[in-house]
Amino acid sequence: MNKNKSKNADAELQQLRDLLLGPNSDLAHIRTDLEHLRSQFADKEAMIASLNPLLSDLLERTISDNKEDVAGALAPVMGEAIKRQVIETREEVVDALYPIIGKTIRKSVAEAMSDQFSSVNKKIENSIRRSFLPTWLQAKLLGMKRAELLIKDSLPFRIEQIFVIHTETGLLIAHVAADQDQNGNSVNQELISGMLTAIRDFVAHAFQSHDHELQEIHYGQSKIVLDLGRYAYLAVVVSGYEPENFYKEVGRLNQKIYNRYYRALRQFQGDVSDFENISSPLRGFMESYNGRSQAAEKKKSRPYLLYLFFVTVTLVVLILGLLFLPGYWRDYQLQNAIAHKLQTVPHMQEQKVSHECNDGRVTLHGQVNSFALKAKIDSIAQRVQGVRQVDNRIAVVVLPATEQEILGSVRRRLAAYDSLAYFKPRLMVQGEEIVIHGFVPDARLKREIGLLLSEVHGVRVVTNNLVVLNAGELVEIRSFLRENSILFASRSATFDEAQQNKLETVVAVFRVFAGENAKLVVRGYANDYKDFSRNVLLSKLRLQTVLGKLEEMNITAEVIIAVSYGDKVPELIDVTGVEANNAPKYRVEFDLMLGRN
Amino acid sequence: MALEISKKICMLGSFGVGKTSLVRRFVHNLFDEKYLSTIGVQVTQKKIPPMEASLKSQPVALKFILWDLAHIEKFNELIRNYFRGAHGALVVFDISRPLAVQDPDIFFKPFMEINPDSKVIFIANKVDLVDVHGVAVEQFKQFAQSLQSPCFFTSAKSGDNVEAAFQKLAEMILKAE
Repeated sequence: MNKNKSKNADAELQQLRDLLLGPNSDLAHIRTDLEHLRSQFADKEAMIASLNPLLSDLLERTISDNKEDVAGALAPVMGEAIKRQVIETREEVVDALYPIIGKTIRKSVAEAMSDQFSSVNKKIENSIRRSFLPTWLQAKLLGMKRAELLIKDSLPFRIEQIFVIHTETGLLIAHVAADQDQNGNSVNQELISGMLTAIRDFVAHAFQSHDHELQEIHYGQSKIVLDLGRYAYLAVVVSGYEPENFYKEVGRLNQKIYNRYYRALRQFQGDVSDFENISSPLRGFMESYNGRSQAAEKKKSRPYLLYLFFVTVTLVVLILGLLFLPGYWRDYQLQNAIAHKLQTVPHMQEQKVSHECNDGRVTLHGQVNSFALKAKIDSIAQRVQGVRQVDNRIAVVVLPATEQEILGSVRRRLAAYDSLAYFKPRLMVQGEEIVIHGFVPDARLKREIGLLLSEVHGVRVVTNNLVVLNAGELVEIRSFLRENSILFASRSATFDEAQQNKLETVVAVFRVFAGENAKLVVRGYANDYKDFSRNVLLSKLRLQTVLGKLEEMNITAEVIIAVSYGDKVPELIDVTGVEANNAPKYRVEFDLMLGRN
Repeated sequence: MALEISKKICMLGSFGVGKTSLVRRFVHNLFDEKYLSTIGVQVTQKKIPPMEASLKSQPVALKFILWDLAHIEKFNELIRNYFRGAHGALVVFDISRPLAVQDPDIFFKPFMEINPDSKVIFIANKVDLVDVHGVAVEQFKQFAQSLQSPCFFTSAKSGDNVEAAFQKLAEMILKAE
């Protein structure tokens, strides 16, 4: 029994040994893998190949997360390594860096020179005119080397081309070039205009700079100066170093072009024939700069004494101008400001008033027809800014106006009312009283005219008999229309152009009632000749003539009731109520019928 | 002597429909293409032969300044600036691709909003790649008709109808002068 137990235990132990140490056991696999790793570790090349992608990724992430730390850690090592490398292989390092460093240095030098020349220019413009002094003295005075001045002289400023470009479309409006060869090359100019406009748009969009405009584009030794106007912008291609105020002058040129061509610019649709002679201000501007540098060359040879004389004279004139000009200028501005304010006084042009200014003191001269007006002018002059004192010498002359003067003054004032033109109000003047009759389209105008008449010089009493055109005044309106009957020559149906005015009056009255379903009644008449049929025909023809004229004035048949003799003898319409039988029958008369009649 | 008048014309259309090829074919005068990738526009010029204009006392030679726009898959403020002041446009489609994927609303509607009076011609390009009696051609005709604009079937490759399309646009612009 015990032997059996011992045998079983041995078998189980053997089984366990096989599992742990046998050729297929996990421990055997681990041992094999360990051997493989040992061999890989020994092979450094293979090790680097497998770690390389992981390390690159890890380094990249570490550098991007901790830039400062990595730089701090590497700086001493890198610095030392580079130093050693430069000492050991100086030639190779120089060769490798030349393409990059060379370009950088060139750019830096160009920028430094540009700054230097700008500063030199500024010094020159701000201190002295240097042309009458020898260069060594100029350099001494400016605190710079003579060579610097000579270099500056050898690179003169020059305007190469000027483009005038429509802002919205980018189309070329005008172009001038200093070099004659570039003048004829219209293909490039059109393309340049379009591309410059696209670049401007692009820059504005890229930097979201709607309030700021692209002002310069640099290329090589040249640059393009851009100045934006309301409808067009200028692109001025220049070389050399621009003088002070050049940008302001470009702006002034643009304004000058706008002032001269603003209508054509506003309506520009690609047709440049509207910009006749635009080249002359552009060329003048170009030559004022390009010619200046040429002239400067010539001037160098002139004697210094002559220049000294001119400079002295200029200085004297300048000093005198500075002493006296500001006062004159202030008075001139005051004079204009007062004149402008006085223009706002109603009917000022009828008065004889003048004024003069001297050192802020204003003297008023002339005569007016009322004390109120004199006081008003005085008050206006006092209120103008800059006026220190007003000496009012205006005389008040109240002369009695004649009836003719009153009538003339009233008619001039009424002429300003277009709506009155067809109603022809009648005026009567008796002494200082004025009476007005007639029709007006509305009550507001009636009141306004009454007030206007009361202000006329010489008028003390106004009788305002104007009738407002409304349905309540129908009897008067109908009578007024009949007064404006169109008359014809005896036995004629031809329209007399002298009667056109009456027809326009009738139409104006009728239009006041257009919204009230009104009808214009038109009646044709003829004299009572022996031949009745001829009477009928003549009255019809006259009616047709007037209807045709009405149609020309857009009074259509729908709103007209036309009546002629027809085949009956008409009832004679009373014109004046008294002279019915004596009223001329060679006429066409009018009447008004309102919708509710 | 003919009166010369310049007109700004925009080339509209999705990527790859052949706008630039049409301009090349029409103009034979190329500008530096670097501009195209940098600022999204290429400007070229072509003169149209003189035509009689009813409102002018002399024949008029229109000069087309062609703005070929790139990257207009998405309308933005820059494209709006490029559209400003245009007198006409050629809306180009690739007839070999389905019409539905070339959504003209991206650029055509904004263009017409900015330039309501300008003249437009629809162009179905790459006609050399499709059956001229096929469905696509018929669909395009109906589409152009719905927008009340003339349409042309062109091939920048062979040059078919390219001149005619530009000539028609010139006539439309001149008629509206």
